Amino acid sequence: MARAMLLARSMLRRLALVVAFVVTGVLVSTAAQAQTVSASGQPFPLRLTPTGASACGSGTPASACTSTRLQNLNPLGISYADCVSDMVLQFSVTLTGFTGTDSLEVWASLTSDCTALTDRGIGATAALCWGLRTGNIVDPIINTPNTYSFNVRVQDLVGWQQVPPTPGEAANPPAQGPSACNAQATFAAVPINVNFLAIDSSGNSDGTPYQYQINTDMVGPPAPSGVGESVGETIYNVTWTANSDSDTAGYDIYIDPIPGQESGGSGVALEGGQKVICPDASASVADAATTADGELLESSTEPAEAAPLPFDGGCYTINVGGVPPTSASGFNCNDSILASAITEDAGADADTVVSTPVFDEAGDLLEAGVEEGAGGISTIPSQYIYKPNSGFTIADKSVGQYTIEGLIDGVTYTTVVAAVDGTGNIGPPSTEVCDYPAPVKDFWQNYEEDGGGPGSFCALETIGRGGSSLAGVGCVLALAAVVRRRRRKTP
Amino acid sequence: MRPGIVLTCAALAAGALVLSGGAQAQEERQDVLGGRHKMYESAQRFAIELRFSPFTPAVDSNPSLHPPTPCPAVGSCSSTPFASTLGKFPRLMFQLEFDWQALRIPHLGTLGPGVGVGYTKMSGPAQFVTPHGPDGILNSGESTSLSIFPFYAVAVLRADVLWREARVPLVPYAKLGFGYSIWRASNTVGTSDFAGNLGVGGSMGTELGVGLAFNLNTFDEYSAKNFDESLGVNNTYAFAEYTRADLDGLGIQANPMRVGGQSWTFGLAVEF
Repeated sequence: MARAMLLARSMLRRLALVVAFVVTGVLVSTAAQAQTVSASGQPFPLRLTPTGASACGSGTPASACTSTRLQNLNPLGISYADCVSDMVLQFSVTLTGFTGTDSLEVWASLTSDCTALTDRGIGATAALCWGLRTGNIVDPIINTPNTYSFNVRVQDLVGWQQVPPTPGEAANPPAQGPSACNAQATFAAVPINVNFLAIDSSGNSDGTPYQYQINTDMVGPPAPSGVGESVGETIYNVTWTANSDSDTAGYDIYIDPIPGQESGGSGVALEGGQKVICPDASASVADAATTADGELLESSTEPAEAAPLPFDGGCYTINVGGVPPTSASGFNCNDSILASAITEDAGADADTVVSTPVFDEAGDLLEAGVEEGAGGISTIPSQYIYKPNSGFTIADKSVGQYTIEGLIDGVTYTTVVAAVDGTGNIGPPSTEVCDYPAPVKDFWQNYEEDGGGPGSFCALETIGRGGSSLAGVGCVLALAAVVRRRRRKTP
Repeated sequence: MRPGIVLTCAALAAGALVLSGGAQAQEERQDVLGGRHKMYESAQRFAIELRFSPFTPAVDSNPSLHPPTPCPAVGSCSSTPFASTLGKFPRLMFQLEFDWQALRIPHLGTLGPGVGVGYTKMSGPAQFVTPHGPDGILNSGESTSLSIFPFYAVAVLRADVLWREARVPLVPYAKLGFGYSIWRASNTVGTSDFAGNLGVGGSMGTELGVGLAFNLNTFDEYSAKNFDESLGVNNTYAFAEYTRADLDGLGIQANPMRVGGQSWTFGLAVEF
């Protein structure tokens, strides 16, 4: 009897195990069929023009169009140029397990994954996320993996980073315009999360979302300070104090007139300095043109003509030419296009202190490094950049000197230096310096003119000339003979 | 003989005797504590010198140099192109020398060939042909320089008998041989070029060196012997040497640039 009882208990225990196993399997199976959004075989968004065409130029297949920039310029990120061109990012994601009761929505945020209702502005006074106008998929029935593409306008992506839309508009905010490209407050890059969410009929996030983090940087680094120059024969040295901020990756040097096009050079001489103009009437003139001694030369309350306006209606920095102290030769610069260039300061004051926040995984602020300087975007036409093809004139942040060669003696050149960040944004230009290359006499010319010579035998230039290699051999033999003769004389 | 020289010689001799006495005392102590080391001394065949000298080439000593005609509007009207462009002050020359002590002469020292190579460069601002800008500055932003790569082969006699037989840590030596220096005149853009003549060349001549080496083993003979046991280094010296390179072409070259010169050379040497 007791044995039968034990047997029955054992059977029951085994049955319970089997039931538990089956139930677990069913649950796992159900979970596997839940809504899942994942990356497709195209891990990076494609770059498209607003019309949906490839942004990489004609003939470039869309599959290869992941960037409009060089590999050394953060090709997967977003730059100011990307933004103002109204670039469209085409994301490709794979949907699995959608049962017809969910829709797929795309949301962006600086810190949130947007799965919480309140982060999307539902039941909250402020939203942390903003919806992206992608043509969301509503109520799809997808039992097997299927790949969909979603187009995201860069301006819609970056335009709400400072002030997210009101909760009522968070799901479908108004389309952003070019002013969105001035939304970034600091020159440090800003990562933005693009969240692909399965949303059920109650508005809750369902299943497994997919998040893509894209680095956006639409503000160039601060202008280098301490810019100076010196010239020699057909050369022009530009010097500056290397930037210490975290954004600078290199420098561009603008030069006017463009080497090789000297006949179309600058205009008249102009004294001045640098001034800041604030477009809003209350701010008026923040600074005025001054001489090197700080003497007021002119002031203006007229708003700058450049567009787009800064996001917060902040101030523009304008170079107005003529900075004698930084010109070694002591004369004023011409009023070149470099001097009249307008730069935008991204909505911050000209001497703003920029914090670079560091967050932990939970999104809590750990520290805020402090960097001084005003970032912005240079508006000087790119043809004035010296050697622009590599993306930088100098691809080294620590460099503070560059020599431009091959210039024409007697032509006055104006130069400015602008720092470039790792995404290719060219920051505001420095104050300009100018000078003209002129003939010099180096040591070799002095030596030759005074009667010196390179040496007629066994000199390298003699050996190196065509047909005189025999002279070199003879030289070596003669030297050996001299040595031998002297050895023989040695007792 | 001048009193100053007499005093200097007396001081050197006295110092050497004192150090020698110290070395003797140390040696006796080492005999007690580490007699094993006294028995070992590796073979001595070679020497290497690390040489540093304040150097000014004798470019302006070229007898072919003469003031330009007519005299230029800017700059001195002299026949000293080196001094007027690059200055008279000396620059650091670094050299490395390798000697083979092929022959040991009893009760005198070693004799053998040695070869050396070095490098020095002197730079300065090139001057504008006419005063530049409103302030009339003369120094341009363009640099001009002369680089010299001296090579030489010499016979080296090291009279180490004082050290080996009397434990006086002074080794006088002399070198005599030939030198060939490659030089390059350049500016900011690259190698200088004037009237079709490129600023590169070579100058040959004689090399002479007379010096006095101080054997550093005397400070710590125990460590010196360990150095010998572990690495085979017999002696370590600090030395001072009067060096003279007359690179006048030896009659083979016509009007070579005089990139040799006289200098005091200081450095460290090891024999192994």
